Amino acid sequence: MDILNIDATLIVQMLSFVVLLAILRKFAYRPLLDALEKRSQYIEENIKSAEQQKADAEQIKAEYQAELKQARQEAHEIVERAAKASEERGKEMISDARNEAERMKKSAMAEIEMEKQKALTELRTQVAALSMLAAGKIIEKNLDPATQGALVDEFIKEVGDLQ
Amino acid sequence: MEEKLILWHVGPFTLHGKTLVMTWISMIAILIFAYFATRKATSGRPKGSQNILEWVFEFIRNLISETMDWKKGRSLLTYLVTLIMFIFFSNMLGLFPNITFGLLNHVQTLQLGEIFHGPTLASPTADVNTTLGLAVLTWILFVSYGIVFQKAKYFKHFLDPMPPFIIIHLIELVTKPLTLGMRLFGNIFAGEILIKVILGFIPITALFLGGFLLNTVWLAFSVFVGAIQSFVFTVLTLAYVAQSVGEEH
Repeated sequence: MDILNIDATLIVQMLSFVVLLAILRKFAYRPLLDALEKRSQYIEENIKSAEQQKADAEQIKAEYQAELKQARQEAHEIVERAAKASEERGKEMISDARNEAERMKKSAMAEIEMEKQKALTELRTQVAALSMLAAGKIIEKNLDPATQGALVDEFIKEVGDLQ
Repeated sequence: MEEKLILWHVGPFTLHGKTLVMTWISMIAILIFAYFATRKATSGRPKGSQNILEWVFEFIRNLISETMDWKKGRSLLTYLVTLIMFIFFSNMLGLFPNITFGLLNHVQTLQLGEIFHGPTLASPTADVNTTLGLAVLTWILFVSYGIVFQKAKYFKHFLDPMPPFIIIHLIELVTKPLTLGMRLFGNIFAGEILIKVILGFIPITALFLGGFLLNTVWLAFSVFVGAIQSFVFTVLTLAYVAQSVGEEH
């Protein structure tokens, strides 16, 4: 069988293959495998940084949410405090107004009393004078000056008692 | 069918000239492909032939990590990629028409006229010397991997499960590369012979089939067979190595 002849061709074929392998390894596979390695590194880095960014974003989100919550609480407190303050202020104003009114009323009463006293005193003086005049006119003729003087004194004394 | 061997006599050695020339053509084709695939090797988005070579690498890488521990097998990657490409290109070469158009018919140097004679080129894998040569490389590979990774334990397994089994193990040591080489040779050689036979039919079939229909069908099938056989050879090489480094599969 010619076709099954095994000779030195076998060795040459082995060598040919080894040479092909060596050439390809040196010139073709090296750059390709480097490129593959680089790509997988690149992808790994990308994934890593994406994960990092995601974690960062989540942290920032949590921070913002906490801040938002706090701000809301503060706003609520401010509103509450303002409401309380205005209520107090209103109450104060009302009581102030009441006090003022009371005070004005009192001073008005005092004035009225004073005026009343003043009027009474004046009235007494006038009444005394008028009585004197009237009495004088009535008894002018029939009274000697001594009796007249005694009457006047008595009258004055009575007026003084009235006071 | 005259299947004449072209013999070169170099000193005391005889060489199959046609096989060697075809081997070199395959090698040049692979180198050209590899040149274009890695000329602008980029770690960014790969284009064109770089994609194909990357796909081959990825394919072999997956095969290795499925069959054995990737740490032990990673050194096989470039060998197996080269192997599958070499066998595939070689198998395809026999399906190529002889595109020298008879221009070399009268060249006597190295009997080139004889080598480029006939309707098609030839597959280097249609020669037992090529396939057995590759099988011997596989043999060297799995024996040396066994010794490197298992040390003395590798030789102990020849006595498993009991000492008389050493006969079977020793026979296996020969039949493994032999079947590996003969399978590839048989498939490709038979394919080439059939192409020549079918081409011999053409004057007859041309009358009612348009001539080349049968040949086209057979060429398509040969592409399939050539791809499958290159895969089978690679997978078996890998399996033998995995077996001898002590992977349970």
